[in-house]
Amino acid sequence: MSMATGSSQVDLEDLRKTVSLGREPEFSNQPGNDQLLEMVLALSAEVSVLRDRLDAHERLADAGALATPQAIDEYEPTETVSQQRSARRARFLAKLFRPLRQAAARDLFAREQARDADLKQAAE
Amino acid sequence: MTQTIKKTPPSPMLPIYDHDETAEQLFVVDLKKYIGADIEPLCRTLANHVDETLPPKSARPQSGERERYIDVRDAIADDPLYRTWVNTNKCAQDMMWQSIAGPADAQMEEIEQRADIAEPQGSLTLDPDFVGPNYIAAQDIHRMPGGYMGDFENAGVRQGILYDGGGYIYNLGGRNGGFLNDARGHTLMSHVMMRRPDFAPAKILEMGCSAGNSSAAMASYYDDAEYHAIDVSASMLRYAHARAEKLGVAIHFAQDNAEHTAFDDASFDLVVSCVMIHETSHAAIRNIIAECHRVLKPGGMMVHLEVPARYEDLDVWARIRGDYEMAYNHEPFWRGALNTDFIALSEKAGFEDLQIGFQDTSRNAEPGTGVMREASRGVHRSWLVFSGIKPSSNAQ
Repeated sequence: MSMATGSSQVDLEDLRKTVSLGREPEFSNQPGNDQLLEMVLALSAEVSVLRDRLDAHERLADAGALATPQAIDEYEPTETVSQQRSARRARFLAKLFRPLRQAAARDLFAREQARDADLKQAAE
Repeated sequence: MTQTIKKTPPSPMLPIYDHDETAEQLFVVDLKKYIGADIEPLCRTLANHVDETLPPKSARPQSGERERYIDVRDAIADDPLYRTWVNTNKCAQDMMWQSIAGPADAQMEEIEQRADIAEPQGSLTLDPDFVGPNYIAAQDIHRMPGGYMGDFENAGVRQGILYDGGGYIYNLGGRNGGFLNDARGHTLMSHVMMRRPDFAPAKILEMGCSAGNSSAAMASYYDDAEYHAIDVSASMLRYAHARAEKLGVAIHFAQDNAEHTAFDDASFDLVVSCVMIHETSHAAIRNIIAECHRVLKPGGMMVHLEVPARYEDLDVWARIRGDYEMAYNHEPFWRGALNTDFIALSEKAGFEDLQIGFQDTSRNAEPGTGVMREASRGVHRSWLVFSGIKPSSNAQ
């Protein structure tokens, strides 16, 4: 358990290299929601990394090798393996962004219907 | 406990990436591809629908013609799809930098040792009192953490590493020439060799060389030429210098401003830049073209390479997207670079025999083989190039 750290401060000089400065988009009604999206994507990246690492375990096992940390870092995926990994990442991204795509699709259908109704009304 | 990985860096001055760091970078590549291929088409459909259905807004009398895309942009500003696109795009860019900064910062001591070149073929001249231009100092271009200038303590080669490593991801996993990220340099030289198959420049100047990706490629042509490259960022120059030396290419790097360099009048046969212009300003591009004219010898050639699009060809969504690039990806002169009349500016500066078009991407320029077209073949397949000749004094 950690105590409240009485006198510790951040070194702004040190922080400078961790951020870019300039205009920032803030689009959610609650600014924290923007950060939530970023946190979800950071977690997604980690899941993808873990999945690729598991893949390395399996490939090494297939070759009769032990999946030691060093063996994994030295493992070079073939072109075929790289493509398979990339295809899996694409399927993962499609699942991740399904809510966005479905909401956008519903919105576009509604806009089309509204336009068709307007055109019909204008024709009558 | 650290283990020794028996791996080499993907190019001489980049960090060595372990399995998970590579996997993280490839996730960012695929995220960027997904945004471009699967989210942006929805945004374009939305923008086109709004464009077709929204009554035209009347122009404010004092501001002249109001561009239609601004009406559409304002109408979708609160749309959840547009908002999430903006934030996801921004986030992917930030994740890109983070995926390089992680391994770079962990290996900085070893990389700085690599950067210490005992007997350089070229040279590095930095100016501790140099002040960067406002258009670079005002915001961190490309959202790069630490900024392009790297004006923090012990920046060393760090910002150059980020720029080079990030470039591989930004170009979707090496579509600009793999880890060397140098296809733009070869493409520019392809234009030079297309225009002048028998050209033998004695001195070449490159403006805005950044991490030196295009520099090393361009300096590998014309063995007898003395190659100079300038940039505003000391961190970029340190990195570019070390990288060029490791690749065995002799380049003289100097911290200098392309608008007003320290070089003498009429000292170069060829002056070039790759994707520098869209990071400058309306005033700066005029000064830069005038400076090209000043430092060129009579009969010398100026060539600039830029992003492969012209503003008049952009649809409503692409124009809205351009505003995003300027506001949030911190590309200060994005729209200007696309709609500036480079030919008129160059003529005004005194250049003649001007050419502008879309140069086919090359990985290995050869005299007389390059192809320039009127239409872009698309990102990574074409680059916008414009060039002109400084008249020989007796021809005037």
